[in-house]
Amino acid sequence: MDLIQITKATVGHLTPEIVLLIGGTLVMCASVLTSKSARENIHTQRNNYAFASLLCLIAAVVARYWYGAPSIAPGDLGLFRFDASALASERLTFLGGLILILMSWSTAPKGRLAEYYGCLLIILAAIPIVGASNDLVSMFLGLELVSIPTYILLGIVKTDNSGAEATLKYFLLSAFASCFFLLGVSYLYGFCGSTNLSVIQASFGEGKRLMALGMLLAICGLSFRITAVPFHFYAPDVFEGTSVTMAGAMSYLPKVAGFVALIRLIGAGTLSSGASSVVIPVLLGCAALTMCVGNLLALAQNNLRRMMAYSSVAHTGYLLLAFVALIRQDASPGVMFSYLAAYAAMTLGLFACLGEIEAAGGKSHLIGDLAGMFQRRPAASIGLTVALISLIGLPFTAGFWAKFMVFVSAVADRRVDSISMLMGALMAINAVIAAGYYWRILSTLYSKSESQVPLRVFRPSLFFAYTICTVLTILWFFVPSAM
Amino acid sequence: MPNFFSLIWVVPLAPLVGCILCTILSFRGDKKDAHLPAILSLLVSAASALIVLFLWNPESSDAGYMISEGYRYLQIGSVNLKLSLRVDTLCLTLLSVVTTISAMIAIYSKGYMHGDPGYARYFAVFCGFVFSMTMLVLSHNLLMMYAFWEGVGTCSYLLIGYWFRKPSAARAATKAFLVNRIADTAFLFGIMLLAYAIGHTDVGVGQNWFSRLDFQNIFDAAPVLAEKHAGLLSLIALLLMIGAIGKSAQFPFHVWLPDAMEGPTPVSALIHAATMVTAGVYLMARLAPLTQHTPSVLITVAWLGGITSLIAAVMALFQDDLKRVLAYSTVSQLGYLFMALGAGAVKDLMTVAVVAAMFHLVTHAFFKALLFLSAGNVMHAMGDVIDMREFSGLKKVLPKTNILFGIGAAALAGVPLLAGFFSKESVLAVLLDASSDTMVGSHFFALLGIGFLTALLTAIYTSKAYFKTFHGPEKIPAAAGHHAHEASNVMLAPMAFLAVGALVAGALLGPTGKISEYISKTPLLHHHEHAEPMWLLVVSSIIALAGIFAGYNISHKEAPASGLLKTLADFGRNRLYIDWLYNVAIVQPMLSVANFLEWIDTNIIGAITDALAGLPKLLGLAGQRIQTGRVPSYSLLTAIGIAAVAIWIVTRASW
Repeated sequence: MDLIQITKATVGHLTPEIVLLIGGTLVMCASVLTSKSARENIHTQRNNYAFASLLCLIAAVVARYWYGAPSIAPGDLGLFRFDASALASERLTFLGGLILILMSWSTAPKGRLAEYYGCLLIILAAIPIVGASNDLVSMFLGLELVSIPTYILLGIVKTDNSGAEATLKYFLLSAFASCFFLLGVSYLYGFCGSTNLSVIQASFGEGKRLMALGMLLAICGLSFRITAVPFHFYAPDVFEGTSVTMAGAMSYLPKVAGFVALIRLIGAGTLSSGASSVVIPVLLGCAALTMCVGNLLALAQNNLRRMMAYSSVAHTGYLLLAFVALIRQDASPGVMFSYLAAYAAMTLGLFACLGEIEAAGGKSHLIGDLAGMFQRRPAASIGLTVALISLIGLPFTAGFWAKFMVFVSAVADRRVDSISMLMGALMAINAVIAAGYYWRILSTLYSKSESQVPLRVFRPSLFFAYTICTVLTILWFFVPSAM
Repeated sequence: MPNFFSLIWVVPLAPLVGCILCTILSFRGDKKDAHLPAILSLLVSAASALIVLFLWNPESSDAGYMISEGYRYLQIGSVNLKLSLRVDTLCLTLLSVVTTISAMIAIYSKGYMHGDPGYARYFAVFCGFVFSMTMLVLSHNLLMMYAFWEGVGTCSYLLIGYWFRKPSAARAATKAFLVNRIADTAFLFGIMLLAYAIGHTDVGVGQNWFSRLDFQNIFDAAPVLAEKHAGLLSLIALLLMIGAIGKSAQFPFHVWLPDAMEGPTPVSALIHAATMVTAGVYLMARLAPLTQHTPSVLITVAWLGGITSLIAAVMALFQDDLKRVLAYSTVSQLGYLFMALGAGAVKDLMTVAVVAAMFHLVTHAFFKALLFLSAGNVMHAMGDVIDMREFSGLKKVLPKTNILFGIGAAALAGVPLLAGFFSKESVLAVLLDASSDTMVGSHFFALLGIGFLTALLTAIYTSKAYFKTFHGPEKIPAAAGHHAHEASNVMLAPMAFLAVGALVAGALLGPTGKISEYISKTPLLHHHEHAEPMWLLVVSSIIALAGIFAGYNISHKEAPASGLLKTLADFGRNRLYIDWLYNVAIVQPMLSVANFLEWIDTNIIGAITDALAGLPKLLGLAGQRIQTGRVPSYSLLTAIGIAAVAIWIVTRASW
């Protein structure tokens, strides 16, 4: 296949992303084109922008189905490779995108609607690009296409001091992490003479210490996106300093981007035994630290947002265990994608519920603010309950299977060495610690409180958002193969 | 595969849809339409079951059974949980009975439960039960069967405790649950042992632990195991049997069933007489190709069945509560089924034994459901009074119920040419056949005697209950008020259907040889000629008629004041002191142990746990100090992390 054909096929497969990029750009331009009178009516404006974004997303989904699954053989030398992982990352992104657009419908910052939705759509376009990348250049391009709109989004959703602090912290630390990623990438390129991931993975043989260093530096750079310890520090400050919707987006979208990039960087079975003896201990140590730090710090929190930030860190730890299992070929990438899907439903569902409570005039800053919420706002409380049960990982929710599959693949029956056993034990202990703080939120929801004023303002979009999450969370328990 | 065959999925799924719809309705304020989805879905389910029953030709496949591939529930590594349905003549027989009778009882319930505050909840659990039961019957795998086995147990628990505000109902539900739990634990151990044992045969090669338990694999492995590990196989069969006798309320687990009558009467009719309690019998019949290799276990089964049928009949004789009479009668009749199954211990008799058990199961389902629903009518009219000492002579007040109960009672007593007559006679014929065996014949000769005695007692207590309730001087309890009235047509119509079944099902299926021919088409059960001697029919008729006459005579007599009969009556009334014995010997000691353990739990383990639980929080608070909120310190820590990784690589000496 010559270059022209490859390019044509690639563009064809990237149609959904191209649709989203063009859509995002158009939405961003729309604010200039709309008349002044139209800009004054905030409700029409909200509906218009959200609807336009939803339309873009639907168009992207339709484009994917129109084009069907990739029929060309994976071009090992192209910039992109379309395989099951690429499609799965796209599916995860679109699922998150749908819920986030619904959540944004009534919570997007007024006056900055065009920029908000434009940036959101571009992030949604960028993650599948990372997921399909087969080259360090396209991967970095995708990652930056996620980062830069994220800076803007963080900057515009909340303009007070805490918002500015969160934005600046995220920007600085993200740049810092990108540096490490680039440093690692430059080592890899310098060593292999190619930026193509297939070539790099093929040449990652024995005795290449410098290359291992490059690989690990790149992994460190990606660890920032997935909030792995010790790159997680920004998470609590950012979660606290931004809007509920953005906190939800921050807990999910960068995680998907980071993990699909990791899967791309080190695929299943691409490491030689020598290379894996260096990379895997680092990843396992990182997973152990991430689980423990996330859960222990969450346990000590009374601030709901910070707690959720640490909870997001803890879930990264579990996902890293699944990633190690993937490298060792104990598990298929499906385990990670299922976990991410379940995580999307539970964490976005939780933030959607919090968003509805805030939109209805309640507070959700501290755990105590939720006291008696079941009486005040029953629907959102039920959504929260399902999300929390799923986060704990109890049966009748998707979280159960997600955690179970990670656990089984981390401690696969072939792995009887002490380290794997220890990891399994750590995961179990962490699941118990996590149940402690999630349960505290649950019991607060149903406790009695002096403020019994029902919250009556109804936001259909938020209601739809968490209804979708709740239904998916329960449905996936019964049909885990669809997860 | 013919297209209609996929209809088999409609049988369990329709009630599931009904269950979901009723659950949704139960959250609404207005619940009075909850019967619609339930009745409709159950009718659809019954219709599909009957269509498959009539159209599916068991000879169309060589194996004699069909597997309808289901959806793959879960795949973890090599373990593949696939829910498939296995269809053969044995399961279709039970399936059509379950779905038909549940549809009828659902219609009856519309009238009976009318106006109850939990109307929608009732129908939701009802449909959930039918879903679990049909899946249990259709399971292709023992473990899948176990899952739905627990499912029907849960529904039974929910329905016994339906009026959960009544302490006696809540207690009865707990009792049923716990007694079943004990038996189910044995069942589960049996399943695990079986999976382990099959794993060590050629059949288990390349199979994961779930697919090892496919019935087909169990049947393939059974002869191998019987040859090599006969002791282990007997242990497995014994454990599985304990599960079966627990669910079917056989001695020593029979204590839960009479208490289960705390639930609504239609539920007693459906779950605790016609369907769920027969799950144990079905399990034994299903596993016949396995148990036929363990005759000693089958003889144990037969003896337990014999003991149960006799003691339950004695207890039924002295009960004053109409529903409890019927409950003990159910226990007693199930004992018959187990006696029949036990006769499979004799070589070549397994098929006949299974046929006799299934035949009596089918007819019993019809007439016992009819009897319970009639008792429900009485209860309905008498203002929830069910004690036979409080009312009598109701034939004027409840003329139609009188006839329907009469038909059911006659069928149960074994009046010639009615359903119970033929099926009971086929059970006795199997026992007679087995008693001629040279090796174990003496066991079955004794059991045949018990069978005849139980038949006599059955006729006596049935006719006693009937004549006491419907004949003699009219007496109506105060609780009924002045409006004691016949049940509505929506209740009577399904009863009429059941009455037709109680009248003709026996004659249609038994003497014509239809049921034996049909069930013999089940794989691994081979048709076996066996004659039923004429004298058995005559003796049965005489016993039934004598029993009825005796029952009529004692129905309005005062209980004997003294003498041997008085002692016996006290024994019967107090359930032979078995419940009391369990309480003293098992429950109370267990409670003492539990109290002691609770003390240890709160004072020692609790203290340690609390201390341990404080630790993570302390660690968390310590960790918070690192989170300073300053970007430079964050960057520094990150850099330290990366430096650590770099040092790790550089110092890795291995390459």
